Amino acid sequence: MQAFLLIIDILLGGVLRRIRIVVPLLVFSIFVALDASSLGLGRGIAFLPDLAFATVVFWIIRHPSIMPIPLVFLIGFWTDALSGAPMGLSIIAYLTIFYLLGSLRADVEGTGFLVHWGAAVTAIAAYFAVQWAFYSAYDLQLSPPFQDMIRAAMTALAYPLVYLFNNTLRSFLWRGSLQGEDRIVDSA
Amino acid sequence: MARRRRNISVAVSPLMAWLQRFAVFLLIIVAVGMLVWNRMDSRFGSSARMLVADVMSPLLNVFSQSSASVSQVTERFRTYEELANENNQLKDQIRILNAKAQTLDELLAENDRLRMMLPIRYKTAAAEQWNWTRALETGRDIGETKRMMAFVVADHSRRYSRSVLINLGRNESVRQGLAVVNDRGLVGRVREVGAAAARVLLITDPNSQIPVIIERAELNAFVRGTRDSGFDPVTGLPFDYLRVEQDFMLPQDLEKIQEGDRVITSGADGVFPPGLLIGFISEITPAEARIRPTVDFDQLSNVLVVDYPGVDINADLIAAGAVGLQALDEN
Repeated sequence: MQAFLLIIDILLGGVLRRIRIVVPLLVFSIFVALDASSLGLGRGIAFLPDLAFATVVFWIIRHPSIMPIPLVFLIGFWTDALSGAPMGLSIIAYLTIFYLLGSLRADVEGTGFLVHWGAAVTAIAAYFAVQWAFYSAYDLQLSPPFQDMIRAAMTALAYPLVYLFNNTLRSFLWRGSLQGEDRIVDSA
Repeated sequence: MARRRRNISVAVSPLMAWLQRFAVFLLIIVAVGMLVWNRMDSRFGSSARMLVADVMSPLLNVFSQSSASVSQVTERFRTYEELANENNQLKDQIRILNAKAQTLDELLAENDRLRMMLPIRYKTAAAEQWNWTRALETGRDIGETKRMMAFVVADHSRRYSRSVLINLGRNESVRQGLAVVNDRGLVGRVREVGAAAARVLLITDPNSQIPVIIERAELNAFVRGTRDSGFDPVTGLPFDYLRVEQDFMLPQDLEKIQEGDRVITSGADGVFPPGLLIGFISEITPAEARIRPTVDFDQLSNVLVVDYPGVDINADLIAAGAVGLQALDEN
């Protein structure tokens, strides 16, 4: 892993650090495209974890300054457009978790992974619950919750992997300036 | 100066926090408004959707093609026993199809003879169906029907609307309303079109309504998609099904329907070519008649977009009437 990061650092490190603010967005785009593509899994795709959403949760908790409200709105819009959902559904869910995580930030800041995971699981539950509730209202009938519950559980279980990946990426991108920048940016 | 700037930032900070919080609620209200608008007009946001699909199309193409390649590789690792069983099944199917083909040739010859005896000549649904079958067999465009091969790049058929994204768009002359089929039957119709991608509404979507013929019972009917799933009695796997619309049928007509009846498009809407296979009646309850589609929507990859010129039924009937009258005058 270290050797791999070293090679990446030599080849792309300088470029990536210059555009580091958009790197999480690129990761989100890749995950959301992976989720939308059929992958040959057919019905099974509905039970895969929502990695794109988990990535956004990580960055909202860990580095909120690169996830401002307009960007969160745009991410929700992008998700709706690509997933075939009614326009506005994911936007509402994303903004809700943005508000929720904003309220929890004081309790999460400076704590370890388990508290971070706890906050993420709360956000995941809220996201799928809000989507289910608003979709039921949109459809004027109660949508079966089973699929959303499975997807929420899978996303919560897969979150440590998303954390590991994004945390490594963050350490790599903000190397050297991590401490100073975090103090200024995250307290904003 | 520095102290003054610090004082301003201290005063502005709570205001900014309040504004940020206010902005969240404001944007949530905007999003709810979008949802309500979408409910009233399902075409709302379709341009934006297709713009996003166009932007993401290259990435989606890469993932879909890769997954198709992986599926092909895993397909090769099937056991000898599975392959032997499949081989036997295919041999049986070939025998049955050969027998059917012989009968079909005889029936076609008889049909041609009978048609020659008729005083009038006009395009029938059966003739269109025959053209269509020949087009599929020969791989060429027959008559005015144009076909374009497409690849499914995104599958959204599980959570909200039953739809898929294909890798053809306006640049390849794809337009709204075109029929989409695969080798097993009717898949759906093009609903939204972007420059390099298009969204196809599957026949299993509740918003999809198709005029059909239930062949054995000789009934014209409408079928509609549902959100529910049925379960295969043999494999236990779930599948999406369609429902015969009972509002447009007489109670005595409903009694004519039996399990196993073949359901094909009638072409009455001018969108779908007549004679395309949709599926078979799989279950009849007092409340509904269910159709199991022949297309496996869990494994959609290659599809054909069909630019079908449509049948103008009124024009055909008028033409037929005119020729018929002319024949009477001559006699």
